[in-house]
Amino acid sequence: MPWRGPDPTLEQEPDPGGQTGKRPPGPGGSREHEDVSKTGRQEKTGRHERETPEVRPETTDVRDVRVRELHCLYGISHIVEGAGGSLRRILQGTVELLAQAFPLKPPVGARIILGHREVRSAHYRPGAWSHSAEIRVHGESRGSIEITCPDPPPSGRCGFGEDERRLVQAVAERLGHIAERLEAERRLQEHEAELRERLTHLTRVSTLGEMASNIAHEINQPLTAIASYAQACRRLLRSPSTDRDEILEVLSRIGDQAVRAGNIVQRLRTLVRKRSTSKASCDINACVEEIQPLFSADARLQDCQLRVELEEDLPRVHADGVQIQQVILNLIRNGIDAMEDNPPDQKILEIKTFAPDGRTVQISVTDRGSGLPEETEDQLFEPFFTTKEGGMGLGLSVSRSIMESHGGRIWFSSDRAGGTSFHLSLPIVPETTHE
Amino acid sequence: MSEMDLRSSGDEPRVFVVDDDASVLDSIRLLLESVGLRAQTFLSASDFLETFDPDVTGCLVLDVRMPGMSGVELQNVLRERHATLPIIFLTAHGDVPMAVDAVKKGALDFIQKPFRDQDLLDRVQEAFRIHAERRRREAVRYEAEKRLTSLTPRERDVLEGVVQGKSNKRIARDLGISPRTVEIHRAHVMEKGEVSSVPELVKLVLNARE
Repeated sequence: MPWRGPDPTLEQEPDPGGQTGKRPPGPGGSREHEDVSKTGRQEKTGRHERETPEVRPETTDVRDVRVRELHCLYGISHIVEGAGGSLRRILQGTVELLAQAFPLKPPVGARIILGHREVRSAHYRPGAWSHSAEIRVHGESRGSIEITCPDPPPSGRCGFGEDERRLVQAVAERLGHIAERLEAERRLQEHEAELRERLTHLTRVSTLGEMASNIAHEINQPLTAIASYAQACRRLLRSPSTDRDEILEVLSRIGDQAVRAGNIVQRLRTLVRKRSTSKASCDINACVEEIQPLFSADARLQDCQLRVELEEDLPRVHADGVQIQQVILNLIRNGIDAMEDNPPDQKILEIKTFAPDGRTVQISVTDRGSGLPEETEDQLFEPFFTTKEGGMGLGLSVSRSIMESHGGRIWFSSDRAGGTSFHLSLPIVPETTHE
Repeated sequence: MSEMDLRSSGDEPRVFVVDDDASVLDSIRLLLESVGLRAQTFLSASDFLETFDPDVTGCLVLDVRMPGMSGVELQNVLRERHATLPIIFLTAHGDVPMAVDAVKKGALDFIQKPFRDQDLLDRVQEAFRIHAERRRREAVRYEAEKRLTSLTPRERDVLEGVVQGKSNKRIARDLGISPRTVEIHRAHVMEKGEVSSVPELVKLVLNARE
């Protein structure tokens, strides 16, 4: 049904000092105020209709009323479907639909308040004839729907009739249910996100757990050097021919070794700490270099040669560095494991970073193992799929979800000679957002 | 044995240190040199084997866990070559079972990294002492063996009888020769073994068989 455009004099005004007196008890503070229905087309048709006296259809026919109510609720379902879970869009659509549901002259205005949001239809004007209904979410009042009419309804009745009240009530209940559902969905999503983060953390810690013995060895080496240097210094100082320069030199080596041990501990702490995802401008080469002491210990003690080629001046990416390091560590460890039975001269793992196309940064980890059995290729990234004894089967699956959450990709390619390459790609951050 | 003794000892024993970590090597070398010991360092077991001279006295300080040939593998190679160099293993905490095994296979001891300097120096001195003793005994054995290799088969038979405390007559009967011939063989044995009495002869045989 066409409806009349707004009379310029009826433009929305600030609420005159709470004259309506019926503002519902939504949480105070700032409310979004959205004027949703001013279009030129509607204004043009306004005058003509005003001149045609229209009798307000008395809602004597009960069936008619019911149809109108169903029509309105059906409309709301449509709006919800198209809103993609946005409460704002649902309220905007509904307030318009509601105002149009009353074929009254002059037009009815509507306002919906829900939580911090407030939306108004074009003809809403506070202080006029009004009726409102509470919106309850989980049994609590969270807002209201109000319909207003600038003049007393033509029928001469005071306020809105029973039918209008019923419709407003029905819409209020419907909105309450929608809000409940959206809240439940949001909670579920939050819960899922939290679970994903916990799983990501868990697999990271478990990877480091597997590396613990090698990492401990890596920390023990500088500590051993420090202890021996210090003890040598004591003896040098006691000797009658103390060489000051030699002692100074040894002291500086002690300092270097302490820094070396500290760096490893620092890397470890960063990786083990439980934290929520935080993406920032990120240098992939630095990411690889930071974890190098960790994976090089692993490689060395398994007689594996590392060839690390980091392309210079790599563009930055927007990423959670720790999570990317987790993925890289995982691929490196898989690669080393894949070559366990290789002869020593064939235990070579290549790690490369490069920018292949100006749009992405790529990281490739290539082993010389016996390759992946064809039948495992499809399941490789599935959770709980593992070819390792005692493996959890989560490494690659979590790696994939990390890469996807970065708008990136993980895939693999097989070398004809037998080895396997795993590739990661991440979108480059546009110039303007560089740090 | 004091530090001064070590410094002035004639055959200049050396400490060979093998560890894949350059800083660990450097610090241990410095520690050893600070007490006047001669140290020679190697980044890998194969580097050490390349220059290994079985005639040098000293000891080997060896990391258990290394890429390439591990410390334990090097120990096996040295055993196959009958090298007598005592081995002191360096281990990290997690490698203790491996080190215990190595000790069972003849290593002198193991020290956990990081270690107290005195612990290492005490072991090194003990190793020097043990190696010197092993080498002295080795020299005695070598000398005894050398003397006895020139014996003829018949002289060996007679020697065996003498060592077992048999009389010339008994030896003659056992071997089916005359007592006079036994006497001649016996004189040759004493001469070649450069000994003048039966007890000395027995000692020589024991040294050779050690």
